[in-house]
Amino acid sequence: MLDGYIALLITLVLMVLSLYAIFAILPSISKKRYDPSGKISFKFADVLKNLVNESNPPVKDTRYLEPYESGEVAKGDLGKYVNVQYYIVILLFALFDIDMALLLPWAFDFKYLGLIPFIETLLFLSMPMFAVFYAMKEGYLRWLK
Amino acid sequence: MNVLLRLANFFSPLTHYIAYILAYFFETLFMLIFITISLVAVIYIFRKYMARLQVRRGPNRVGKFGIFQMIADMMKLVQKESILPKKRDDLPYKVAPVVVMLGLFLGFALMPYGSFYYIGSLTVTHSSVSLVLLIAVIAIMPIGEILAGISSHNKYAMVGALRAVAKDVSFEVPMMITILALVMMASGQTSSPLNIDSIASSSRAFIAYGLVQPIGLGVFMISMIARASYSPFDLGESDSELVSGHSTEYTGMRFGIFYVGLFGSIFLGSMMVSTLYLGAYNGPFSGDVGFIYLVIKTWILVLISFTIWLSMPRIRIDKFVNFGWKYLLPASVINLILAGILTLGWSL
Repeated sequence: MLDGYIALLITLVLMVLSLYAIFAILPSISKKRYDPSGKISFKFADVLKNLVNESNPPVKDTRYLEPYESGEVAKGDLGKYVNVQYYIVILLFALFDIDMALLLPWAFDFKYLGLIPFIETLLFLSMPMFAVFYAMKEGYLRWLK
Repeated sequence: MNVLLRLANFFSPLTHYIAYILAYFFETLFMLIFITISLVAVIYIFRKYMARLQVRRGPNRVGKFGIFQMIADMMKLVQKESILPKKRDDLPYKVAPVVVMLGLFLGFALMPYGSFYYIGSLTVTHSSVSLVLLIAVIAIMPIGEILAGISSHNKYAMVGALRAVAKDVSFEVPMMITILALVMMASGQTSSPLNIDSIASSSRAFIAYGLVQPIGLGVFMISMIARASYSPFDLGESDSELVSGHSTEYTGMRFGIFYVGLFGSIFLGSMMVSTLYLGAYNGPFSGDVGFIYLVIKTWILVLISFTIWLSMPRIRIDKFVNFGWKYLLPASVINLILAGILTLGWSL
């Protein structure tokens, strides 16, 4: 019954393995900043040596690791609070998304159920539509209210 | 006959279970290899096409016509050191590219690929609710971008992630309503209208669903453009204001993953539009060359996407939110009503 989904599982496993290879194993065969004479080597000993970061300790230079600000010295932090302009819009989106999850089983049997559930669904859809209209009239879709 | 049975027959000298395990493994592997080669081709053709539009030559040094340029670029990105910024939140920073890549490839695993000459059907995942799964899977990629934006503790990245959220909430509701209209219309044709394969084969009745739902096709195409976030709607990484949006703090192969994710979502979006609205793999002799039809339609849509990307200016974020909620949403609801009337009244 679930044999149709095996390909998805294999995709998941293969992708995770290949991404591990890309991020951990492939960089370890290449040249390093702290070892400028080193060349690309596929030898097992060299790969192992690079994997444990023996010859390339993590950088200590703090300027190197600062957040990027177009060449300026990064000042301040993001802080705890960020002004989200579209908070109400995101609430509307959550409302609509639950709506869609409820409507998909109806659409599955649409032809069989016929006209009356269709009209009921349109009424059901018109309620969040009215919420969008109300939010628009209140000015929540503008950049600054 | 499908690719699984062919492979199982090929491995049949081994015992039954081992043959099927190998068959499942290799069909998935062939799909992944096809998708990887397609993504490399998408990036190469984009660079050549952009160069031609801007009266340049494009990559032409590595190999004939520069066809090995992408492999050279990948080697460069892999060799580069991934700089891990000091202020990052470690786990989400490292998980974000993985999430983007997983969402992309799971989306490709769910597509129906049609059938090809000797092999038969090339579809790898057989599910009766694959459309719902696809909707769920394509919502994974924005999560990776938001994780990247917030966890790297960069002002540009944070603003980019917030804009990406505002963009995503604006187009996803119209996209869902157009898909709903599609399922409604398919419910008259097939007994399992939530299966993408059934929708694709039932679109033979209308030649293509895009012909009976032109508004739905337009809304869905615009949604796919916005989802891949390229030029008219590249609000998440508007590279002239925010440096590179959510991928500002990423270097090396981690950045390369985001870059591939952008082109991959263009390819996935084109494939979804051509599967759901442009008649998928149907056509004359579709039992033999259906896969070719799907690939040709996908590539035509990819080239149209590139033309849109290279010729449109970026629109402002509040204009896009207005566009999504004031125009796309009513258009998709009108499309839903029209689809209902067509399905019930004319019994299409």
